[in-house]
Amino acid sequence: MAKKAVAIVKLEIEAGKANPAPPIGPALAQHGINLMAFCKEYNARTASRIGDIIPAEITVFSDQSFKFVLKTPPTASLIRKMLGIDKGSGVPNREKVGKLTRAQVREIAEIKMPDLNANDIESAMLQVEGTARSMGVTITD
Amino acid sequence: MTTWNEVSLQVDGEGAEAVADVLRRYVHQGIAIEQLFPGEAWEDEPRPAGPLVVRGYFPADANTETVKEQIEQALYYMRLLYPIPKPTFKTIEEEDWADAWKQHYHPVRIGLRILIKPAWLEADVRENDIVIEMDPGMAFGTGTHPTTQLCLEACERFIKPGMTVADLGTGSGILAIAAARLGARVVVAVDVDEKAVQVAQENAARNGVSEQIRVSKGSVKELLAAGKQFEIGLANLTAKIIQTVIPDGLEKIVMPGGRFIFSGVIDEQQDEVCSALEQIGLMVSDIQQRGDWLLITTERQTT
Repeated sequence: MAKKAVAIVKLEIEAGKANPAPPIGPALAQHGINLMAFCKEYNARTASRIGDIIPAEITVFSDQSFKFVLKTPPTASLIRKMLGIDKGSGVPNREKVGKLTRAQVREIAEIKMPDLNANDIESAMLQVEGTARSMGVTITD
Repeated sequence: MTTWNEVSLQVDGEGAEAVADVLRRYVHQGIAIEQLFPGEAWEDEPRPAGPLVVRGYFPADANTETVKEQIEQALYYMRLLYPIPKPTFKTIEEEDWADAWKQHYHPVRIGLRILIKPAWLEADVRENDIVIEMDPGMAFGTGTHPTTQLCLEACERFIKPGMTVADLGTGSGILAIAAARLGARVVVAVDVDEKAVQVAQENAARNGVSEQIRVSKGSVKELLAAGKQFEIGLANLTAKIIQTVIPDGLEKIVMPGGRFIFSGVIDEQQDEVCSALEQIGLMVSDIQQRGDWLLITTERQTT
């Protein structure tokens, strides 16, 4: 049956730890979908990647059924992991928290490629660089 | 009861991840990003681009004002690099989110005797009612969708005790269960989605018809491999999928003279689908419409 989508919600949450508390509860309950069915399924599918942020993109249909796909980790979390830092800069235009080489940018862009709205690796790299700058991370050659 | 603060802001696609990463430092367990689409979106079609709303939650307690200030400050610095709006704050009461979805479900009466009932609800059951209990997993035929209703009505009309029925794309199993409850001797149901297979099996068990229903992963090929042709075929799919499976020998699922019932087709696709079905010897005998949706009943030619 052709289904009409009524909402698309992406949850950026930790692998294996979905539960009905915020943000999952309020974000999904309003759309009338079975929250526990989502949590159970998400936790099962991400159990081997605990510690990473694995986004889930949930499409809710007009009959309140839903499906979800797992996405690549957020660019910022990949940058943090690569630099071994906990968070980005609070004042990204002045305080820098790290440096990424172009090779590292390319590595992240390759991981993110399936989810980025980019036709080629160069434009994907530009998007990664944009995120890096917003975190106070500079790019070096 | 805990009260929560919700912080939200509307951004374009590019800024969403960066904003989410800033908010993440201050909120509980992660971020929700909702895509707003003004028009309609259909499954398996490119979805319209639209603005995104990034949301995060933190407990409303003595630290509320401090956290708000921190968030505003962090976003202020981001705004020097990206054009982003100011965040909006509101408070929400904690509720039983785990069970909140249940209030969207109600018993639905379809056709003359069929009553679809959420498993946890009591319903006003009349004599001779055929009650079908459903517990929604991820795949749920609530019985509220027009195509499900049209198919259930057709089942009531055409399925007689002792018949054999094939269900192509069973989903939650609702049609297969209805067929069994209407007296079908054998129902073979398939779905390409493994999750649906599991949900359909659970629902069949819940309704006490596991004996009559065999659910497996598959499509036309698996139904043909069942070794016999069926008296009734059910396919609540889409026009596109119906046309995709036609070359696989779709018509051979039902025996000559048998009925094959299709739904999930919208009215503007009627001519295209009907002519494709007639070309393989499935002659259209009846068309019902509800809203935009059609139910097409066909009979397989005997020669």
